[in-house]
Amino acid sequence: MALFPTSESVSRQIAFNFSIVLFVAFGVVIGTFYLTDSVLVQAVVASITLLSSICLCYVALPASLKHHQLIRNQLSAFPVQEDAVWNPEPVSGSTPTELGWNRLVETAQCWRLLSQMEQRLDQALLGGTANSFSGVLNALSEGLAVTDRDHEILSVNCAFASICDRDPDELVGLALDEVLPAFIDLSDFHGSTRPMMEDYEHQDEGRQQFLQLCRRPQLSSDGEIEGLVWLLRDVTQQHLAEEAREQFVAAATHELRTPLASIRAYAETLATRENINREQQKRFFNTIQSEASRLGRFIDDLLDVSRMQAGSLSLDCHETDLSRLINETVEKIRPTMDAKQLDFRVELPAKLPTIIVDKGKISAALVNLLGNAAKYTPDSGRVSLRVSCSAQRIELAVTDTGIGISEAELPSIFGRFFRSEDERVRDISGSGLGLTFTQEVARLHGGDVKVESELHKGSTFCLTLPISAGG
Amino acid sequence: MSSKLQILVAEDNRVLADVIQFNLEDEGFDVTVAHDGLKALNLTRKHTYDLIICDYQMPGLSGEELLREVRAESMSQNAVCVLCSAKGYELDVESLTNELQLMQVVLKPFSPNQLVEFAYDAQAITAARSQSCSDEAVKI
Repeated sequence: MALFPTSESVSRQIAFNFSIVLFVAFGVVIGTFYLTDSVLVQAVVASITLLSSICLCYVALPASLKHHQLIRNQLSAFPVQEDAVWNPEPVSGSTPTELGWNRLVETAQCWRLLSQMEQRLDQALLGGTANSFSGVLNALSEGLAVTDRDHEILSVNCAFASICDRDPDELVGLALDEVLPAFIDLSDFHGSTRPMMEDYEHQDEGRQQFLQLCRRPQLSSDGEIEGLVWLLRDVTQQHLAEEAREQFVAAATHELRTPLASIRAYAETLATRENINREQQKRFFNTIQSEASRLGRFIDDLLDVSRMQAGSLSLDCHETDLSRLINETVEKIRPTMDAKQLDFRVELPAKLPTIIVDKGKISAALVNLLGNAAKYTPDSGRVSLRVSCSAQRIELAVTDTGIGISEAELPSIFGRFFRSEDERVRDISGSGLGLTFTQEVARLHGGDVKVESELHKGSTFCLTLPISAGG
Repeated sequence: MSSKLQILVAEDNRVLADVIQFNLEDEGFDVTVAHDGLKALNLTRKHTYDLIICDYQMPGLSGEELLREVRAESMSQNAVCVLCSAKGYELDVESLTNELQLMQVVLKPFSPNQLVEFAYDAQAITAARSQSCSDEAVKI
């Protein structure tokens, strides 16, 4: 049986359909003759039925014929050449022929897409192999070099050239030890056919660099080295992060042990000494209480920084009397100022507005700024807290006549665990978290902390809060 | 020379220095307190101390630097020395003990009574040294 209708079969189909329609129409006319005696009615019904039948045959069938003709035309355009393009179009209609044709068109379209993909892959694999592969190698952050067994460079990627501070094109043909930084000694890799890895540390004008060099020999079938693949990694950031972590652990240990030492010493003294008068007892208990608070604050700082790292530090904001908040904070820090005989001055406007802030965190931030000023200002120096207020914002400026901060270190001071390299700071305890926390708290309130400083002269830290802070 | 044991406490944490001084004075020792390394060094150049208890981390001069200076040149070269520290694993206790001839490295938090024990030990050592010097003098 032919899948597609020929003109003969279509004509037969038309004749068959036409005879069925005529048979039905004839039935309707006979039925009318039986039902009525009116010649006029019989004549009208017979005329309408015959005309409708003829219209049905000549309107509906040509549509089917037209679809079949479309299919036939497309089939005749089927290309003989293998690489020619053939784009069959679907036809409307729901006869088995039309449905079958449409399935065929769908399959052909899928085929065409597959063929296009295949072509593109072929192009990538054949025409563009070199470019694609070097593209992948150049996208690596690790330096990669391939040398022969005498260490002559055959190829390098961009990262390798960048670590060596050279242009990738000028490296091919050079000896590896001419290219690598001078502090890398290739003799460490001699005499072995196994993969090896060495770490190198270099310091130049205060800049530290840590490099890791791996060598993987390419062996022939008889175990001889044919070539070498070298991986060069700049691991400076990882090392600095590890150093920062160690510094933090050391600082945290110190900060935890110091108040704990006082608590234990005073508690044991109270428990074991008999010659303590009531006034001394009270002072000792107060000391234990304040040192326990210091310990608690440090643990809070640690938790806050941990929350900052997780991005989940939140504020508990309430309408706050700013004058009262500042005065309470100043009284907290005053004993520290007095202990160093610092000239500590506070300049407050006569009236300050109420402000919606997290009172505890703003107080802690201010304690950090004033505490730093006290810490890094030599005995008998000056520290001032100046508060100014405009319609939009409030500024709390803490100025000291302390050791100051070098220009090089200024951009880093708000970083987590940052500790100055200044020798005068080395022996002053600190976790390196205070300024990080203070800036984060200010920013969460919609404000900020800025610093101006001159080495050996002093610093000014300015905490700014919008009047609508936290609201 | 006073018969009381002369003790120098070098500790920048004033709260802790106070309680150490209280405990040692309560036992009848003569205690001087310095709140930074440089002040402590000046004191050791002017006075003779039998026992120096110093903090490792201090402004001006660290405890380690202070004791190195004391051992090199001071009136307290022969003092019994105890180093206190709030540092952790980064402190090389053994090499510090050997190099600075320390009686002990004490990690914070410590018991003040432990320091009192050290003071009595230092008293015994000082007494033995004095006795030994007297015997030498008698022989001469």
